[in-house]
Amino acid sequence: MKQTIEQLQHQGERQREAANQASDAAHELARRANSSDASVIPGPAAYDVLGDIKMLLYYVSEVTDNLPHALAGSLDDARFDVFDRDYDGNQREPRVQVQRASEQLHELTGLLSQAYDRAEAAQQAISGQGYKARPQGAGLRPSQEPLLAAFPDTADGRPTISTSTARIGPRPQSGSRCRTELQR
Amino acid sequence: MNKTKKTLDQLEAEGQQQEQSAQRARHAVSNLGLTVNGASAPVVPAPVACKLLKETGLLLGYLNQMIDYLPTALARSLDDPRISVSDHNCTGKFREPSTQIDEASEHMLALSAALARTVSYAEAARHAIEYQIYEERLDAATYTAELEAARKALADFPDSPSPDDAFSGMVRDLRRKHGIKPSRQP
Repeated sequence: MKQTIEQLQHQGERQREAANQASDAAHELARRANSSDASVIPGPAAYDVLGDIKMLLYYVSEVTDNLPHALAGSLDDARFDVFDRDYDGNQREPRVQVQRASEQLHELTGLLSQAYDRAEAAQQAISGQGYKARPQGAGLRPSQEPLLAAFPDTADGRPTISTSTARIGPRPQSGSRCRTELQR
Repeated sequence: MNKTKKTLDQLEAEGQQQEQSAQRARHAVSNLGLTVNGASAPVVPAPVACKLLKETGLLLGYLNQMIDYLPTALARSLDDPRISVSDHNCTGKFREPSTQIDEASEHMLALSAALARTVSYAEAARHAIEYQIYEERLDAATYTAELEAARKALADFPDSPSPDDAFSGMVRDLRRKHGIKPSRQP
């Protein structure tokens, strides 16, 4: 019995550490994108970043979808007793507080589902966008650009960096519990 | 390497760095999902859930910052002198890049609004359980053994030669409450 609660505490430490790392990585992403060095994000890079954000939202929704069950499980766990009190130290019913948290988490999961869909729609909108280097020294007249864009292999033969529609995923597993929840 | 080429390289390098940062964030959150939802972790006590919700709220806030900026940065790519932007649909037909960016920006605006609301829900969930704690539950044999040890310690504890001090008073109260007589006298 003693060993299993230590395992639970160890798991808790791992979960805290994973949450820290996820938060730090998101911070780094925001800092990188918002830095003055990166004032321009072309379509293909934005497409990839949106794809990662979309999946990131999906993984967060997996956590928020599962957390109510995991929290409720803690109330019935034979290894420990749960106590709750308010700010003034008055006793509260732990089950009621977990229920309140679960309601908020349910709303949060719904919003994450909406956010996921919007990220995917934004990604789709720029899925056919590409760019290539302008001819050195000579700027193009605006009227020339649609023509060059329509026939990208003409003119100077510079490579076009495009957003491949084949990379619109990765999509979540269709059979996963969370996606079923999100699609409801 | 001329200046124009160099700055275009910089643009591409920046794009790769952004993509790498996004991948790192995705993998970190994927790892979080595995750690929390793994079969070995069906139970998450409130103190751990609070930490998860705190970090999740921060994470969503950072994502919101990122998404807020993305439409502007994307629109700037149309006017960047280093590159020429093109767009076509899945059949290869030309589309106006600015129209597509406007459409993407509308979705990103809605995405940002949704993310802004998620932060407050994560905070509200955390607030509901922030004072919840847990204590290890002893099994019956351990509990009985510890209770007997406490009873014996209380019975064996000698009365103080100065019986008016606070600690001696507490010992007397405990003995009276639990019906434990001292086994030896001072």
